Amino acid sequence: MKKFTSLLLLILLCTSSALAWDNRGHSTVAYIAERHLTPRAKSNLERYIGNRSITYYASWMDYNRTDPPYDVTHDWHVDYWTNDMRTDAQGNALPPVSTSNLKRIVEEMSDYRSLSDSLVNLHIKCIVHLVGDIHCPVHINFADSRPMRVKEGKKTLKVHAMWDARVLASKHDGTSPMQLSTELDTYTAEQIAAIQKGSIDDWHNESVEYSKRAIEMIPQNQQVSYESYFNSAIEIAENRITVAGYRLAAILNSIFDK
Amino acid sequence: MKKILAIAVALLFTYNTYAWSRALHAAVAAIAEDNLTEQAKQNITNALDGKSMVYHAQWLKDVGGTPEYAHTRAWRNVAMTPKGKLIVGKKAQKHAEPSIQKAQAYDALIAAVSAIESGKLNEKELADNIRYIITITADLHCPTHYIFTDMIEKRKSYYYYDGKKHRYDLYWENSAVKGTFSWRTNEFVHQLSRKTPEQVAQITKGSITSWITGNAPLYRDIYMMLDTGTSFDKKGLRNWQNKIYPIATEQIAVAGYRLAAILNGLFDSSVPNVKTK
Repeated sequence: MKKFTSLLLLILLCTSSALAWDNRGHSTVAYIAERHLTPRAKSNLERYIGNRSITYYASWMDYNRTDPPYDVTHDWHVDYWTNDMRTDAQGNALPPVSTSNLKRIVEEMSDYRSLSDSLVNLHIKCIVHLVGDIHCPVHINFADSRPMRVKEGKKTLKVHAMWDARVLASKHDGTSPMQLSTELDTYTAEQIAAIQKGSIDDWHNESVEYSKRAIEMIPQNQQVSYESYFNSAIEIAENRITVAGYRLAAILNSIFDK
Repeated sequence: MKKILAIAVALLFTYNTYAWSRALHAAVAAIAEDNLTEQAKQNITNALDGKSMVYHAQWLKDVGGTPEYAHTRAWRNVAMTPKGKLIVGKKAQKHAEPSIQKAQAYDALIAAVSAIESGKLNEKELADNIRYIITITADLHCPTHYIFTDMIEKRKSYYYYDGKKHRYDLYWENSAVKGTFSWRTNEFVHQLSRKTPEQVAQITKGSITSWITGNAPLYRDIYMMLDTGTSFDKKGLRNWQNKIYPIATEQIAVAGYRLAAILNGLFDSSVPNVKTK
């Protein structure tokens, strides 16, 4: 029975919709990263993705999460937190899903030349996307925040849906991802080095704190507007996207610049 | 009275045939411009009153409603037999199927290239013919601009999503790329103008005619990618789109490189002309 309950809980947790940043957000992360790749890393990794830019695959995981060959990745986009922690059959807490998958893939890629080309290709797509996801505030999914709703005009939005696209669009709706990456990529070399320090677990823990802030600010069941929420939330969104871009570059350089 | 009615019907039909959206026409022109030689780019910019080709990407569609250019409304589509043989010239004009009568894009493109090759155009004619080539080359890499005589009905295919009916040809115009990527013109260039010289040589190999007939098998398959009347849920639409956007982005890239090949041949004396046939 306990096994069944755990399984049921796992299934229920898995079925919540989760796309994180929209294509604009994920592409901006990837563009920032691309500008900070070393020439050697860029050249090595692009050989595995058909000479494309990594930005082409920024949202690939979102688009293929229900496609049968890749539906195993369906639930890799969100980390649950506190009272929502997943447990195994014995009741032991399971590690955060997107963070643990990202860590596993990065570890496997440390010796990428021993992997098949198709697996390296798939891993690149996952890394490019998951680094963006773990920096998106609503991808630390708190039980308390899930029922929250806000109103924008006549629409009632889930917090997740609002963060997927509306927060970024509230200020940058007319801005293309490439342009936005130029606007956000203004940190000094010292600042970037500081951002890139630490482990993926450290970055996850930092995201938890940012996510708490983003959730606490939400005017529940009230109208959201630029003045009441977006103007504060956008600072967090811009920070998370920029930081994710620099860290994505750090991961890819560490893998492919050798 | 019958004649007026016929013209009205023809106009309605023509206005209902689209190609790539403005953004995608701009993308093709921008990729082409990115691959022009310096000499070609300079000569073309001079001929276009100092403006970029991208500015003129959809000019032909924009002027189609004016009396001076009313004849160009028939320059959107090409028609083919089931075996992929082009139906052109008088054969097209006299065809029983009204949409094929108006499928004169191939003739217009060949005429524009030949007119520039002749070197006998005045400034306005030269600018017009460059702009014809820019718009038509893009159109001829949009799958729903191909009319196959055995698949006429397929051009009216549609699907349902979110309780609404959507036309397949308009999907290709508006959503084949936009449904997946939030790209502007600079992103299209960054993403798609990155072929190796070997890939470019492969894409631009052959003649304008062989490019168009070579596109046909793929474009026939694209018509078959939708069973008309299909009702998609969110997951189904996404998985269907995943099959389409790689084709759409590749066709935009191919159109851009081929447009560059045509224009480099016409405006850079050191580059051989692309053969028309």
